[in-house]
Amino acid sequence: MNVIEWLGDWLKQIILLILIATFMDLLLPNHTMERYVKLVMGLLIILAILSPIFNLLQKDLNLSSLAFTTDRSTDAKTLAPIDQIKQNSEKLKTAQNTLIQEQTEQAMEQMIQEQIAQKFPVEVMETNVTTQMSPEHVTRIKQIRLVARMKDAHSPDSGDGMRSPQPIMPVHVNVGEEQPASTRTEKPSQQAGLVRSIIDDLKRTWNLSSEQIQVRLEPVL
Amino acid sequence: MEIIQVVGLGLVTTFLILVIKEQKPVFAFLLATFVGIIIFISLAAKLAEVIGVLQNLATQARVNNLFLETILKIIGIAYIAEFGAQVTRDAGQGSIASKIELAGKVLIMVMAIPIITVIIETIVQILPA
Repeated sequence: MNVIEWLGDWLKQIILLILIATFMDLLLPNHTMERYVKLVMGLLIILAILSPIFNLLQKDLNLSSLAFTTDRSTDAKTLAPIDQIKQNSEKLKTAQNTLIQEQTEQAMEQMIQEQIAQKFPVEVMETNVTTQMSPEHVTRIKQIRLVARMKDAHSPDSGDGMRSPQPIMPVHVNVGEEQPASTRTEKPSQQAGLVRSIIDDLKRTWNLSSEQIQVRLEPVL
Repeated sequence: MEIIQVVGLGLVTTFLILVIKEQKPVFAFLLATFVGIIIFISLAAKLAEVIGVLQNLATQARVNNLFLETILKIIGIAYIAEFGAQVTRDAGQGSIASKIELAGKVLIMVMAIPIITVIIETIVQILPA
């Protein structure tokens, strides 16, 4: 469309020029001038025909100057709100960083969930990894919080502690008060052992200190 | 309608000149020149109309201003040189008339010089150095 328009403009120019030239030939009063006028008109028509090439060459020359001027103008324009641009870039950077952090956290959470569920007889309910961006733009794990529940499938191991005392209870009536206590302590101790081993495992795999890891083990429902 | 006026003016002037020429050839020549200028000026208005139309067309077709300017200048030079040459020739000064014509030709060629330079520059730019 643009090309056709441009071609039309070009042809219009040439046609009009030729029309004017013939008209001028008629208008000319004297034949002595005719040859000269014809020469000049011919040159003009050649110029009109060549004008696209001429424009092309001129544009090439103009491109550098155009670039130069626009550079200058943009410089002048951007000088004022450069702080704003910096602010925007900072905003974008922080937004991107938080996005990256969130994604790494999610990936880590998934990894930990799978890892813990594979290694220990627990069902991971919730993992929460918080990371921190160090000044050198390296993400470090700040804290891992893990909430897990003892699995029913493995509950015989832990559940025995619950069931086994029951048959014992009726036998020793007097010690009945102690024994549930012992079973209660036994179960937490078992849980604590599991928690500790989970913590140890996490410490080893993620290279963390124990304060950074919080594991809560919920009893079986 | 105007052609009748012009022709009438011309005929009247011719008769007058024929009458005067015997007694005062100088006045006859002055009269001829004067009438010639009047006819030329009266036609100049018409010519201005024609040129205006051409200019309008050219601007509508977005013809380069340089072309139109050159064309109009050529027309002006041709007309003025022609008029001057004829007046001088009427006065019996054929040599001066030819000088005026020469001036007109030279000026028209001068008009062509920027065009020729532009074309040659373009061609030189296109050709690899």
